[in-house]
Amino acid sequence: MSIVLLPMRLKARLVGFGVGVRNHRMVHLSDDERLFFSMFAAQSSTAIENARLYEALGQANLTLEEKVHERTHDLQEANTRLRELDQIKSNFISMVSHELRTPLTAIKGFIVTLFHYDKEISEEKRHLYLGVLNEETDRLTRLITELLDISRIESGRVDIQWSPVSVPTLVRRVFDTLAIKADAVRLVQDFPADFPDIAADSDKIEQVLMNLISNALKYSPEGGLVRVSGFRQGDEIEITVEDEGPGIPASEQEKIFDKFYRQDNETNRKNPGTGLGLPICRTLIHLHGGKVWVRSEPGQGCHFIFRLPLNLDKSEGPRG
Amino acid sequence: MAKILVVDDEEHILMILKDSLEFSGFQIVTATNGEEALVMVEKEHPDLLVLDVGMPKLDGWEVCRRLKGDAKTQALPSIILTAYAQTSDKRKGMDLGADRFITKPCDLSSLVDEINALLKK
Repeated sequence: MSIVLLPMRLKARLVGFGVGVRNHRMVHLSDDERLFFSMFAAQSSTAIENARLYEALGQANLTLEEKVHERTHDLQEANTRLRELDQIKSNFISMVSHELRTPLTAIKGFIVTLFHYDKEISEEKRHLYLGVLNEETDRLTRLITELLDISRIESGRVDIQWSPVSVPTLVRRVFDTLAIKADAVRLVQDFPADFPDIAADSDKIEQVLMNLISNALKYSPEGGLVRVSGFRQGDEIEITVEDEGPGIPASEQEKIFDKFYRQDNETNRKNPGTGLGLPICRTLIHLHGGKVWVRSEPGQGCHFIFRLPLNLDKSEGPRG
Repeated sequence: MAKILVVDDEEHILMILKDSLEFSGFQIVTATNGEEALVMVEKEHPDLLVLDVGMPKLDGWEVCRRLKGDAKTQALPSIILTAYAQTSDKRKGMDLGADRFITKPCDLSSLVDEINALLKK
């Protein structure tokens, strides 16, 4: 009896040994035996390798399936999110379409009437119509400017140019600009002498102030008071713009910051805003790390309040 | 002279609709929101209604739904005149029973044509 060890190779790599048992003792293998054993070794090593590859393939398939599953899930989530964004975008576009059509309706109506009924229209009425046309084209222009503003802000294309800003100086500048419109309304500012400069984007804070103060004026009764005040508290400043107008009911105090939301009141029917001023203000204040809210009781006027961090680590560049 | 109730919350639009329709020979009464519109229908018995959609208190859809659902006012010819311009809006208006759906900005002379056509019915 003798034992034969058969090295099994695959491309020079040893994959195992086959053990052959012969039932007679002979030192030399015959040619037939040699051929038989070498074929056996070759075929079994291929079979072993095939089995191993097959197993590896199965494993890879499983991992692949898991990965495909995971990715599909990710893609489905991304897809849902995109669909939501797309919905928000089309809602926005249909609101924009509505808002653009409204002043255009008035403009077209007045122009066509001026054309068709030239002889019937009194001089006084003609004058009134031209005034309305002027107002409505202003409204359209404002709407377009603010739409561009909000689209720039929302797509993240607005950079904050940090520089030292004196809020009382900006308030003074806004008062000067609005002085003619203010008419019989008194504009008052009230800041302590040591009110600190903050680091902020001067143009954007001026835009916020312009918006809030114009609103306050718009809703002020004749002879009313618009007061802008401020104080420092720790690392923040708080600014209040207050008016003596009709005030805002509690149920509307959050909604007025929504795009295109307009309160139903006499002032808005006569002189409708774009419904974008306050959403823009809020976003600009958020970009500075601050917040804005309103405090009001019907009949008691309105307090629009915003807080801004001093942001002293952010200041660079020239004074704004 | 046919009496038309024009409902719109935009003062300028209401002003020009009133003036131009008066120049065209109609008698005009107005309302600035949905609630007021329903009151005016009852009080003024207009021959036709020109109705905006986006309004405070009660919107034009709801006004239309209520008028068309009430046997007393069902027959009142109603034109929806709105800046909502999508096909789905138009379908909604027609489903609610509006007789015409006109998109703003509108051609005032075709509005007058539509009014005359509905009044002749």
